[in-house]
Amino acid sequence: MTLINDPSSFRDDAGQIFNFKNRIFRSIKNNYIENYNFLENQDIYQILINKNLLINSWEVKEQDLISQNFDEVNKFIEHEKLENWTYPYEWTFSQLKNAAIFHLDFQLFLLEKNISLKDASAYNVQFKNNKPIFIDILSLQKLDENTPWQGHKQFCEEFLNPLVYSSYFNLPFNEIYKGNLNGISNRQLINLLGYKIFFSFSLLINVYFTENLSSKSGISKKNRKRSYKQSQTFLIKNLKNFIEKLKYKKNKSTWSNYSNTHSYSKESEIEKENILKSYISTNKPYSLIDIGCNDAKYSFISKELGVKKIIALDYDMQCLEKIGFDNNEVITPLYADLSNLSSSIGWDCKEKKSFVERFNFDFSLSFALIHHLVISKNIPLFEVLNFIIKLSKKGLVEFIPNDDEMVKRMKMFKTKNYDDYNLENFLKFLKEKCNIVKVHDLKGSKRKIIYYEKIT
Amino acid sequence: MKFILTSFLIYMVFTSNALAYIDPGIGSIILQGIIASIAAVGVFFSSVRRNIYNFFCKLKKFFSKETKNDTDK
Repeated sequence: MTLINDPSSFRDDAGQIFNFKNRIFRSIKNNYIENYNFLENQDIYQILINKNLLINSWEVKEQDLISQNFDEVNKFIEHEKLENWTYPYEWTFSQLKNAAIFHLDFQLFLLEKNISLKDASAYNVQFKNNKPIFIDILSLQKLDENTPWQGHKQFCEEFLNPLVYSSYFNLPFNEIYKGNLNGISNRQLINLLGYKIFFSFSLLINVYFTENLSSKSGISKKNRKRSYKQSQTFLIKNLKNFIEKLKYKKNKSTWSNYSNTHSYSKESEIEKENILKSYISTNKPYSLIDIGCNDAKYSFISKELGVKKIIALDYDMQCLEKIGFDNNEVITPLYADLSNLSSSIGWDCKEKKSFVERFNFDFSLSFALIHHLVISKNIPLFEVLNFIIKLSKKGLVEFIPNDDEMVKRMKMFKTKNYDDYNLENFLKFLKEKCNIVKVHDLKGSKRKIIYYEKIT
Repeated sequence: MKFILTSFLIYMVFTSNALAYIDPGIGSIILQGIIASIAAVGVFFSSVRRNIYNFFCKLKKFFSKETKNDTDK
């Protein structure tokens, strides 16, 4: 019976996360116990949990856990296990914006109760039923009014700067964020924005001055006691007002109008919906992944048919922004390029888990997707199918033949011969890996919808 | 701009040490020191203004009492 240390939990020495019997535990070390007792005595944790601001957590008394010999560990807390575990570099613009505003509101609420956060990491926010929730109880501490807001710079780099980048340049922040797990540095943003930074008071003080004051100063050893509570409240309110106004501009992208411009008939579209409905009704999956979801039309149909957890992936931010997640607890849009899905990265290549490690699904939808990976990204057909089968044991895949308008357009200027991309090979690869493969013709089109089922 | 930055840096000597497991960034600490100082100056002037106002209020009350006493007589 061993506790498995979570590879992402090592920076804060106040405690650690462990996986134990498929449950999530957090150790609390002696150096944090004073803060813990203070917060517990004031009933802060329970107040936050009741308001759905903090992940549900409770103290554990299980003997087999407590008897584990750990240095400096005083208590064990158990956390509720969340269904979806996502990272900021997979979030849409609206998700990061929601998380940022949530974080600031959370801090204002805590400040009123003379509590502060010792950091401001975006990774401390997760989404439960598409609503942001704070997950790191060890970040909370008794407010020391003589100490400045410690997470200010971190907040700017992990929340503010990626949002500003996306809003000002109308580009997804995700690729940069995934490259540097701490977001976008103040220096990067200053260099990217150029003179534009001088037209925003918030960016001027939070990013420009903060960065330039750091680079031009040394460290003072003189101490002067002063209250920083007011300045912290001022900065938080200023950041909140600024972030609330940031928007991802609605532009036409390659895929944003695909539902109206695709190359197949209305008849085929209805047929496709009917095939989907019949398989969802029969299989009744709990979770589903919609790969290359576009406006998540098929995710919404699946949701109507009772699917409880849907992850809708696309790499077009314009499309993802159209999927409202505020009033929808089931469909979670995520930014992902299937040819470069989140891998295991960070310290020791383990800190942030890969997408495949974090998720598994009962059903997958891959409509109008395979030809993009095979032809545009030059990934061999069997590799693409293998990967889709890995994500889910059952699902629907669309095959688009070589003489389809879209495929012709994609191959127009390419010299590579895609002879192996044909229905025969498609079915051959699927049959090698799956027990059941059913082919459905789409009326009024040469496209096929193929159902696969792998029994292990 | 250099003048403004130099003026800000003067405040650096008044900043307190911040202890955290993350680096809060010296620039962020200086910025918050400046905001706290501006707020302190604001509080100082508003308390001066309030004291002057209170002084005149008391003076007004005192004189109005005096006048009332005179008319009573």
